[in-house]
Amino acid sequence: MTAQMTRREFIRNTAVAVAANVAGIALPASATNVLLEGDLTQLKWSKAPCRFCGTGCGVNVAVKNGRVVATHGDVHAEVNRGLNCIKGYFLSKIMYGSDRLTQPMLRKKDGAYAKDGEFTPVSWDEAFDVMAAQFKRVLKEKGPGSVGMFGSGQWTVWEGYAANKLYKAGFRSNNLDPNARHCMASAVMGFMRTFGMDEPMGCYDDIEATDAFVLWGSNMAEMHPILWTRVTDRRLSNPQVKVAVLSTFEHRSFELADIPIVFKPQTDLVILNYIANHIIKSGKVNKDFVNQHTSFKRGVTDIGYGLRPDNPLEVNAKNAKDPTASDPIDFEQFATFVAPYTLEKAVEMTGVEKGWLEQLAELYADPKTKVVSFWTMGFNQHTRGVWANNMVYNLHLLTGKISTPGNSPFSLTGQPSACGTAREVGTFSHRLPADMLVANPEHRKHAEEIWNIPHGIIQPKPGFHAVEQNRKLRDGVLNAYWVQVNNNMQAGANLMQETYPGYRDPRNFVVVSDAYPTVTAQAADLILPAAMWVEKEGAYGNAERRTQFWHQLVKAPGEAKSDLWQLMEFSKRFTTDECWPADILAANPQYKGKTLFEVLFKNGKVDKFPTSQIEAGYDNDESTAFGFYVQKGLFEEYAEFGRGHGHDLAPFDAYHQARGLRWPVVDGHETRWRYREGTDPYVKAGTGFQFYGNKDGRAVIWALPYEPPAESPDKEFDLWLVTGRVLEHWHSGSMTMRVPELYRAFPQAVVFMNPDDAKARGFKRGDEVRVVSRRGDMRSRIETRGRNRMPPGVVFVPWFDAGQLINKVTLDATDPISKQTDYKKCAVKVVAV
Amino acid sequence: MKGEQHISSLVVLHRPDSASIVRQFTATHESLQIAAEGDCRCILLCETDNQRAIVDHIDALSLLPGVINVSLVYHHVESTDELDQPAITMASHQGADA
Repeated sequence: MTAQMTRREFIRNTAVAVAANVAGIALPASATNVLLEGDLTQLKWSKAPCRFCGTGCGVNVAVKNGRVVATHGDVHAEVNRGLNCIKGYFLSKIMYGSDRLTQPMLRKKDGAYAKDGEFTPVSWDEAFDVMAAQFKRVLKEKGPGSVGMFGSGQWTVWEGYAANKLYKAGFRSNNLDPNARHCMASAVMGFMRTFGMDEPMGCYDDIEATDAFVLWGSNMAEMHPILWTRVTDRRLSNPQVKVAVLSTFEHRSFELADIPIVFKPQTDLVILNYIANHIIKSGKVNKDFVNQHTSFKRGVTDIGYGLRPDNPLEVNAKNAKDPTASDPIDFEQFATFVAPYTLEKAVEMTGVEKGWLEQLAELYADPKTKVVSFWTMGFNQHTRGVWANNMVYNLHLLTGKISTPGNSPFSLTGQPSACGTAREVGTFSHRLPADMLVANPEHRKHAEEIWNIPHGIIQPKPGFHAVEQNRKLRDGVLNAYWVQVNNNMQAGANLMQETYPGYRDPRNFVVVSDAYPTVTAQAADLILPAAMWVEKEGAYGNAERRTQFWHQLVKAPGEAKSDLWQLMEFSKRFTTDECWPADILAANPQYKGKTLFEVLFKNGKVDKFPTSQIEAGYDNDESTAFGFYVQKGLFEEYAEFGRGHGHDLAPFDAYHQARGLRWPVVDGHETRWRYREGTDPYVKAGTGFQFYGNKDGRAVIWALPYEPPAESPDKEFDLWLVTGRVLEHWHSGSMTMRVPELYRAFPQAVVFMNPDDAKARGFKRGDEVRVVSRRGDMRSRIETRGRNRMPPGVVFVPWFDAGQLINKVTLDATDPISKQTDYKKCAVKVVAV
Repeated sequence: MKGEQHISSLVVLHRPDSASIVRQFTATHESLQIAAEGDCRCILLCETDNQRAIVDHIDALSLLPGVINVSLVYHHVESTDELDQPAITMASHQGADA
């Protein structure tokens, strides 16, 4: 660097050098004489994982004068290696929307709470007084089964953990479910049924080691752009690598596809069984692997569609009551079961050209080709989503292509901590931490011991899951309800018939904690302003089992408080006498008269670490408020559940140093490939592989058929409706719609339609139309060009736009096993306005 | 910020035979310049007077045939006046503000 160089030249050089470093392109030495921003300016840079999707990119966050002013991809983060997608790039702006909530707001009339009152600013004390009175009224009149909470895969690990304790131990209600039910529940049940243990065995390192990628119902180009960059890099730098993309319409990921496949909705199940049949018929089964490491089961069929029990589709379904039942079978029986799924049948049912199906099947069958399968909502939001997950594992297990670098069936996640919080912490209505279940007496006992509470406190019956919560609100069964970090009024299916009437029912008191006035917040009775992202110390767990921490970097605006503070502070307003049965308290008198805060959080474990252990230079508002290092205490107590049981987490402080660690972390070492000897410390020497989630150490290959969807187009409702996301907006858009650059890039939702379908209906591009189903309708505009190319008979509408609520139209059919909604298939018509 | 200047860098991943398409596009946009090239990727230096123009470039590049992915890696903004100062005095500046 010389004195003659201007700042402009200097910054140009820096920009190019950083990009070259990220892209692996060599520059002439003269162009690399640069400094990085930390030296260039007086900003304080810290690390944090991105706030958006489940990829878990590392970002560097710059703070100046108490405000986040810049973020960029962290070159030291293994996940993204300095890259950032467009949402991640504008990350710093999500906290500074002009309509940020900064004060509690209660519906009031004549100075008091009223269901039909106007939102009025109130103090935290008043907000919690009213809220506690409502919760106590419901607990007293109807018991713990009538209080509930809807949480999120965007909760930090300790927020989810605190909520789990407050509800399942404090209020004795299992009516706690995360919005991850909408995105990951089928993946969870798929893992549990096949491996007996949740989450992928492989990791992102598989991308650089594989020969073939198969995308099953995943538009990675738009939804996981950074991972897509790594896939693209692998494919373009290695011409022998193949990419197969499967979907019900053509999207941006098809631009890289060597094998492009558009299939008729629901017939992915046919393709999966055809491939299994092809592997068997062509003699490509890895017999040693199958004999030593797998077992076979046939699942029951005709399991219904998770609709209300009085729906004819449920009444007539033979196995709606026990959709998980199964019988053991052997390899021969499995081969016979898939034998009818011939190439001819697959072509006929899927509408896919024969050649593409053969090429796809051969990727899996050829023992020399390493395969990574990726999937997201195309599989999971499916009335047979658990089956689809089981069936893709079948392909990897039949060929032994699993748990080794480059061979990886990999379920991608949509939220930053769907894995780390919703799944690992066990915030589902049937779960406890570390894959344990409320229905299992041993699991309850173990949890009660770790939580230091009397036996018998945790209820054995699973609570209401997400879709059921909406139905129970509507029916007036669930009456005191708290929603944190999600926008379920916009996200839940069948809004007009199920969600909205429940929120506004006078029998119910609904509280919503959020950073912005989402449609859900506006439908509530009390809105609590929430701190977000780096306004609090946090931890997320990404899709590859990587747990990542960040420090609080700035203060939340106004009176906004973190969800963690809200949960813990609220717990002070309840005593054990108000929440726990008298006989348990009589037998355990030391708990009598204590507040829930005292028994759950000031229990000698959570309050063990002093605030002096907080890293110097960082605020921690919750710890200051409660007088101990809250996050550390909660994390260390939570980690007791998994250590020694295959879910080992490292000591708390290690995560503030590392760019995340993939569990199990044993003796300081993370695990990249589970279930394989040599890479997973839990696999015994001499076994080769051990699927230790199942007692016999074997993974299950499932015989499951094609079954039709809950609703298909007919004469009147003649089109398939598929919903989903677009690149620029994350989920319901409550954050991204507040970033002007992102809003401008995709301001309003549209109906993507095949040009011939549009023409046949007399529409041209841009025409305003109504999308109508049996449940409701919404207005939008026709789009026949652009990023999504629809086949005839299928329309796609993104769901980020609060002005165009597509969930007024969708059907609340769910997978009967996972209870996850199918947002990808229902019947609609599109008519002129 | 009035009279602001945005300096950013993009990594473009493209099919090997599409390099010329990216070059042509860049040649027709004064605010873009190819800083380095590999077989299936290149680095573009982007200098604009507003942030939206960067997003517009990313959108337009993404739609070019054979372009698979565009990532923004580095971004810096400050006033044009300050940028033309000698770099040696920069320690006193409070520059980056995305």
